[in-house]
Amino acid sequence: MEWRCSKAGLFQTQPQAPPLNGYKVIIDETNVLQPSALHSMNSNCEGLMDHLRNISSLDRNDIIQEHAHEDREGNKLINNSEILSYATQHDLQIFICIDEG
Amino acid sequence: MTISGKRTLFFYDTTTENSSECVSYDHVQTMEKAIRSSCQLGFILRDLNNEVFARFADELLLMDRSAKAIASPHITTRANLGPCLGDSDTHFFQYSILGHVYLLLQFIIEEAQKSILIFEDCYRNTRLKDILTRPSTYNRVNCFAGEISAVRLANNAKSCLKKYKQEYKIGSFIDYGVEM
Repeated sequence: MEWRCSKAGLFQTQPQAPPLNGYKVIIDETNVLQPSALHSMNSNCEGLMDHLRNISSLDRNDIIQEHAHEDREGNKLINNSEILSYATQHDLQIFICIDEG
Repeated sequence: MTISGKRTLFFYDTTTENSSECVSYDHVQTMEKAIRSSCQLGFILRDLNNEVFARFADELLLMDRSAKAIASPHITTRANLGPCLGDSDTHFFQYSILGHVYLLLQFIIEEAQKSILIFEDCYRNTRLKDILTRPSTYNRVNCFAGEISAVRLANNAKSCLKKYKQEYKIGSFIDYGVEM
């Protein structure tokens, strides 16, 4: 799932709290990886890695995604270019942690 | 575990006195010893080049009440403390890559894989699933006569393929909370 903060909220002093219905499902039955029973585990795992990278990578040039980010109240949400811009403006290393529990 | 080395002598000018010698280890033999030893301890080494074979054998192993893994609730004789410290569990070996159940499964699945080569790539997985989940496939080859029924093999294939896909879905971080 993915949650993005609103553009207006960026300038508030308090950090934004994600509402319960503010998450968007980005991986579901329609785009989940289907492993091949004819391939090795190594090949399927590499396929899984590529698949996840393609789904979760932020693309600056993704025009469709850039205009699709609005919450239920119609507030504009931060888009890919802005996330990349804010994340890289200090030239600091970015660490991303995935916890599936 | 002692693994004997293979000594190779090199002769240069004369056939009576070797110029050098080299001790190497036969990896096939070493691997077999590793598989046998681990099975006796209640573990299985898996060939991940053939994930479906391994998963199918695992599914059958799970159904075999005689194959007791370490700390299995089916171990009744606490004096032996299960396969780890007892007299070992010979049942595990037959599901390993050298065991007869695995080898026969390999034969059946390889035959099924050959038969789907006439189909286009996108239909092959579905066709393979159809073949492996049908009892007639196992009745025809009759590899496990009097040992494992065709219906049980077909059900095991169904269950193993379902788990296989499910595990990759979990690995893909699919969100069932929202779906349900």
